[in-house]
Amino acid sequence: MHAKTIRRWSWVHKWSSLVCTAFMLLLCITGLPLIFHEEIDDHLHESVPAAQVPAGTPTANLDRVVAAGMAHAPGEYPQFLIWDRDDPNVVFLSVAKAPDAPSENNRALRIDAHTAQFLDAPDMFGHLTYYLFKLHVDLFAGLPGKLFLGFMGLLFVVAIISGVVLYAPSMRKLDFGTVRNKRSRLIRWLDLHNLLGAVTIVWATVVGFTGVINTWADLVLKMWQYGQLTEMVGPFKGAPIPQRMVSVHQAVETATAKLPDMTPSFIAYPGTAFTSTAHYAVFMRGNTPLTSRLLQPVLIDARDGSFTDTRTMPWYVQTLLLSQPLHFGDYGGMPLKIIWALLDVITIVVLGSGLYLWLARRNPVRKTAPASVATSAKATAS
Amino acid sequence: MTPLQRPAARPLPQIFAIPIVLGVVSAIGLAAALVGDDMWDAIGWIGLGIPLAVTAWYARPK
Repeated sequence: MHAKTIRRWSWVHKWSSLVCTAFMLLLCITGLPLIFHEEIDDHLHESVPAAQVPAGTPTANLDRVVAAGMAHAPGEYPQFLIWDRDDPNVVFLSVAKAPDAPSENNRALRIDAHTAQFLDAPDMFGHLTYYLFKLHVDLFAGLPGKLFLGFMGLLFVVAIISGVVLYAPSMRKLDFGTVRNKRSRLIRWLDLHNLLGAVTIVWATVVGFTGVINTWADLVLKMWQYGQLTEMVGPFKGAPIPQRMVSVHQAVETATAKLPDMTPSFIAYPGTAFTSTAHYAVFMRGNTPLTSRLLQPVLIDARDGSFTDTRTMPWYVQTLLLSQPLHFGDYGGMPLKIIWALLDVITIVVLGSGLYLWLARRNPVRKTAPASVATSAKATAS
Repeated sequence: MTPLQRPAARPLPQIFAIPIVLGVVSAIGLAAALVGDDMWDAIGWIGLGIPLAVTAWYARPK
């Protein structure tokens, strides 16, 4: 590689890294506990357990489940009914002050899926994981915060690519994994930076880029609303939210009959961002590990319970849905979470050592050079 | 004093051989755990565990 080419790539690597490093460190540090958010929440916060029932016990009528929840939310409205992926005994009801209010500040109520008993209403906003989550997702700054972090993620990907290019001249005369312990601190950290960076290229690129895709979630939802959802809703567009709605249990039964090979994942009530003002949207998921991450909405007329439409979601929604597990690392049990955490720690070291290398090289003349000469002299002498 | 012998420059395929193998193994691990459970998850753990083991080996205190 020409010296000029190397200089150009060095410039790209230096600046893409420098701009994103502080934010990437924040993302890696807040992301580390978030890998284990369920375990942390379980440990820090008491929750009423659902009844332990033998396998195959039929679930309660959903209308009773909703009624049990709404009895604890006077003056509020159900917006989403969500089956807990990890605990099939629990159903979440997400409620808001109005049927079409924004959903960010919704309260969540937990209800036993079999007995239809109200369990509790966890105060998510008081949880440590909520603060970590907000810092990680949008720095408490909403969509601009998300898009900003997404841009930092893109710079991180540029830093990885330029790092791969620079790996070649850096390792020209070294075996893979060489760590020159007896040389200066700068050289030792350069070697570690190269080693740790090289082993995490694919993981860091995948987690970094799927993180970027996740920052576009709001935009993807908007695109889907204006595109496929509008087409599916057709003449119902702009219809008022019905005063009296048909049984949600019946809506789910109709949806399940339409897609018998799928399982309900959540229901969006009329007026929310995931459906029209006139429909329940029953979001069905597949039954294999992979397809269980993908969703298909079934629109049910909330006034009379009739079926309106169902379609496979467009590629940009599917991409977002598949990028979620790949970012969270929640798809291979506890061992995968631990691996995710270790790789995250390695990434923190890569970021930190990169920052150190930049700082140390900035003042090479005054301090580092004599020190490194001294160390190598000592190393040779011993 | 060690003799100042310049080691020969390595060709690109040699420089990138191990990183590419580790990258492929990682990618297989990332995908395997996603497409299935049980055995597929185990392939995922192994695939992503290999780069960790390699790191531990080379970065071990000497």
